[in-house]
Amino acid sequence: MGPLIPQGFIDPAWSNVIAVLIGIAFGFVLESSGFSSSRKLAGVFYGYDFVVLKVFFTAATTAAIGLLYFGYMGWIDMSMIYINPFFIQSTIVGGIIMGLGFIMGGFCPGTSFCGAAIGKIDAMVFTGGMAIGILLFSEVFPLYSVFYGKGNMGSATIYETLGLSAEVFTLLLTLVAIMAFYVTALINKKIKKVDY
Amino acid sequence: MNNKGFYYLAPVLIILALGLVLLPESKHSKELNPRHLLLEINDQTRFQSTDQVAKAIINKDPFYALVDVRTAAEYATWSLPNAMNIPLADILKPEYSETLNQTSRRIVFFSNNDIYAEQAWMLCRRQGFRNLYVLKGGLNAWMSTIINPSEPPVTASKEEFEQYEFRKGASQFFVGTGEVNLPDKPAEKPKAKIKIAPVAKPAAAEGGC
Amino acid sequence: MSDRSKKYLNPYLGGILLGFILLATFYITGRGLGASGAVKSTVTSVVHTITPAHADTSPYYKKILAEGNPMSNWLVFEVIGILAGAFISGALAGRLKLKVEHSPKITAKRRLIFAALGGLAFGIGSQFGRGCTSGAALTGMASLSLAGFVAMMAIFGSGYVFAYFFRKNWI
Repeated sequence: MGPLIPQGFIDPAWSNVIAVLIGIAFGFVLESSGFSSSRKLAGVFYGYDFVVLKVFFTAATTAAIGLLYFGYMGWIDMSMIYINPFFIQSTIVGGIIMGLGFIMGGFCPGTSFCGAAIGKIDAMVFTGGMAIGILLFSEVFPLYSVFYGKGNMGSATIYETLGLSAEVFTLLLTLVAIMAFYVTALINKKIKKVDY
Repeated sequence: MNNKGFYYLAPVLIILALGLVLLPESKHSKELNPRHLLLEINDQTRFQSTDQVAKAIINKDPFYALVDVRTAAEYATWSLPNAMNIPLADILKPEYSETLNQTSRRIVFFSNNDIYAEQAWMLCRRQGFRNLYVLKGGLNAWMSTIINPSEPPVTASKEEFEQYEFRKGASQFFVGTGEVNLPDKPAEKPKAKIKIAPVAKPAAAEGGC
Repeated sequence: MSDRSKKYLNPYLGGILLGFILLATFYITGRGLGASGAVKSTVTSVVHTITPAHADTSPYYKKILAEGNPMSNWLVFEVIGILAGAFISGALAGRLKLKVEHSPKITAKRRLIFAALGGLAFGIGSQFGRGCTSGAALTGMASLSLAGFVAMMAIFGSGYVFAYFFRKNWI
């Protein structure tokens, strides 16, 4: 019963090897879907290419449904799944800054690695910028360390916050995703084509 | 352009998601992993001190639900105000699961010491119920800290004196004015005998609808 | 454009595959994917190597170092994999080429400046957000965490708001 490593079914010594293998699959799929191209990525914000939305939403929904089925069949112990903790202020501010970074740089960390791997210099510069950004953040950390730790709501789940069951929420998520796919397809038809 | 995939994907995803909602309750999902339980036992976050519970009762905190896990006879003799009685032996019975399986209130188990309360906590936690707590030290600690608090030595810190003052006040609240030193059975406690405590009513309502 | 897209995977298929990879990652490790964390580990390691005293006393690095040797962080190995996987995919599709990708309406230099600024912002933002789009948003959404959804909405919401101001760079 999963998750395998925390439950001791796989020796933790293997975990780095597995990390590489998973990374290879991740990088391969991302690049094949076109995530190594900053212009393709930025398309979601201007309506000329919705690949980001399609891949992202499909992946999140598929994984969420998959996890729930695994939990249902007893293949995975859902209580051992890491739920990333929610720090209200910090997450929102971070998200806003990341959004700005996305629109300026046309990449996010994972995709910048893909771009860099196939020779995109702008991706490499983006990655370098990221390292410097993290360096800056760490050096000046005491300025906002209190803010950083505020609003800790722990490992809150979205369905509990909304008062729904996980399954019902996932169904709603699926419906929203499908509607988004449909609507963006319509938008895509209307928008002026961009040659990239 | 890539919409062909969409017409296959959409129905498949919807059917799968719908399946999740419609499938009957799985026997696997609810039980808590023993490893996880051990972590919780060690981190001790489940304990409520007698001071915390006394404050909650005095303030009529609606988010506290006290559960006496001793036998019905012991409960009838004396219990904490507004506490309901779910004897340990019956704690797994379905009629109590609605009351215990909820997240809106903090359920505090107590018994004379804390052994039975701990067992109750463990049994309920194992089923995946949440917001469960144990009164540390049980009613014995309640007696020695709230009803009969001992005066701290002169060298004690300010906090300890404040706590002692609080406890003296609490003791008067629970026992009636004046009487501080009491045997196990304080004078009259008719309110404790009301089995249909206000806290128990919502349980009945949940069961009905 | 349709010529180009034939070489790319159908995005829905890509999404499903990514979903499976994410699911497998959860099944094996109990945690999801990530990317910015690897950069964080690397930065911490480098600082620690160059100025160990500073790294040990500075609050943020101290916290990271306390969690064990940063370079053996799982994410670092995952990123090595990402680089390799992307390289293979690019090689198979004939997309390997050293170049600066930019809209014909702007210069390469302008693109690089904005790439650097964007990276800078993302570096800072990902630390506040305790993750990036892969780690916080994507993984978070799959595990149905509140943080994941809020992060996703904040990132994309803010992207849409700022998009107008940077449109010259893209369209």
